[in-house]
Amino acid sequence: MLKDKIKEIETEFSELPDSFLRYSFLVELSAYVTDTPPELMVEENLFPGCQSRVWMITTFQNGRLKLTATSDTLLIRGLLYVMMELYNDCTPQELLETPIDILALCKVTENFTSERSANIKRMQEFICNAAIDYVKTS
Amino acid sequence: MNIQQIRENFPILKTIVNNHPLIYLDNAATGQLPQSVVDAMQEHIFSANGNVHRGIHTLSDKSSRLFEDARQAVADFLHAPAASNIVFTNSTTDSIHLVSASLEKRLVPGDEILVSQMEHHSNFIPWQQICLHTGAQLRIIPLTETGELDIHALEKLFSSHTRFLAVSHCSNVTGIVTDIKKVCSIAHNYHVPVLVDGAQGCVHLPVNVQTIDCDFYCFSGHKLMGPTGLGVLYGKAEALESLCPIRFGGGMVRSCTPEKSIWEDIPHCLEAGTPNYIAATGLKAALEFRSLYDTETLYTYERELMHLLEDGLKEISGIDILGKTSERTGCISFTAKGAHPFDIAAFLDQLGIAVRSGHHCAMPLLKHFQSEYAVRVSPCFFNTREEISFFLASLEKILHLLRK
Repeated sequence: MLKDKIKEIETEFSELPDSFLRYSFLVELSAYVTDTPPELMVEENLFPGCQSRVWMITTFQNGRLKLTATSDTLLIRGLLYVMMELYNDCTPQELLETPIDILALCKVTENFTSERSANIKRMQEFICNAAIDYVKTS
Repeated sequence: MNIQQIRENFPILKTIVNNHPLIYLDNAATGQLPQSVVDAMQEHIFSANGNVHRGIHTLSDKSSRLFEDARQAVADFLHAPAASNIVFTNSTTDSIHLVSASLEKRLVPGDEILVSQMEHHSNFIPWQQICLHTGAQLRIIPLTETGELDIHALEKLFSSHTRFLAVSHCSNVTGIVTDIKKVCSIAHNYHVPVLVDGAQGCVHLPVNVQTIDCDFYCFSGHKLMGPTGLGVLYGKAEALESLCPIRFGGGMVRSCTPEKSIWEDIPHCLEAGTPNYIAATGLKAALEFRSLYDTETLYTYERELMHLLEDGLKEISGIDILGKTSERTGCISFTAKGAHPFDIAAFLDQLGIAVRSGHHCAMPLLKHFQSEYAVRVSPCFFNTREEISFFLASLEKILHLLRK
């Protein structure tokens, strides 16, 4: 199921011929990040990064991941939407067995500075670590 | 002045970024190098590379001469009395640290240092830290509502405890120029020495350190289209004499015994270790490149670009320009309602336009404007009017997209 979602997202971004349009699409996707619970946007859920503020929490319901995240910048919020689309409802096993390069999937690897790329990777590591912890404790 | 002809000297301007011709509007972060700068450094490396002031062989002598020629070129650029007033450092930050570290040894609790709220962190944090270390007090020179240094408030800050004043020639965020001659005059009435951070100022304004009468003036070579890794500290002779070496090593010692060391004369005693002599040659070439053109014509053209930019920004709805002045130099920063500076800069990059977003290492100044981040645009004389127009049109398009 995760593999299907990956393919779907990859196809959508592949249809966009340049990075400006891919960025525009991310901004469009950011609009779907709605109903962010106010309790999410607190200091303890703030992901350490650079200019963009990212709030992120992971929980597991019935053995499936529930990722809630948002950002104050639209491009990053768009990427978080992609992450939520991909990871939500995944089992920890599925998540850990399917490594994803989000930036490559959205075809923006070359457009993100190395510092920002590293931050995106750290966010994914955070999600994977949550899955590992869940497996260990359940 | 033929801008296209000037542009031919900068190979990087032919770069294609994200399928668009590069429009480089981040000159306040670093300048681009003309070919002649690279050629001069290459020539030094290939025909005269020897460590300076150490060997008696021909290469060392040639290299030393080139290094000292560069020092003289910098002295001429700043209208300093002599080459010995020029210390080569690693950067503007390094120059400031050289002065602040020396001052730290003399500070006692209760002493006061004045810095303005518009400073780059490089000219703010070193003073803050030495105050914390010594029990001295850091007093902040406030800004007017428009972001200019509040001269009247400054006068009131002096006391018998004031030991030093540090101020920038030109803000790296707002492009607002401070009347540093006046600041120096006021400070000297209280016998307080002044350091001027000229990292931005000397790029776009004529500098005569003797007319300004500052005690120290510092800048970085790379912002003047020289290479990175080289800073300059100008000091009046007596001001440099007041500094003590903070680094020890080769090139700065006349004699060394197990008991004590005796330093070389200024400026060499402040340049421990192998200096970046290749970069010094590059800086000299950068200064020579600029001198090919009539300075006033260059500055006038840059002011024209700034006016074009500011007028265009004012036409776009929801744009808030940081600071207000009749003489904005080198850069302009803004925030845009409903759009994060990061998103704006990231989108502009997709159109080949390089600008900077962030706090610009000037958090106290951003706080003055109740902002956390801003977009900064910093053109220079190689930018064209068409580039400014394209930037403005692109910005409007991006804001429309982000505000949907």
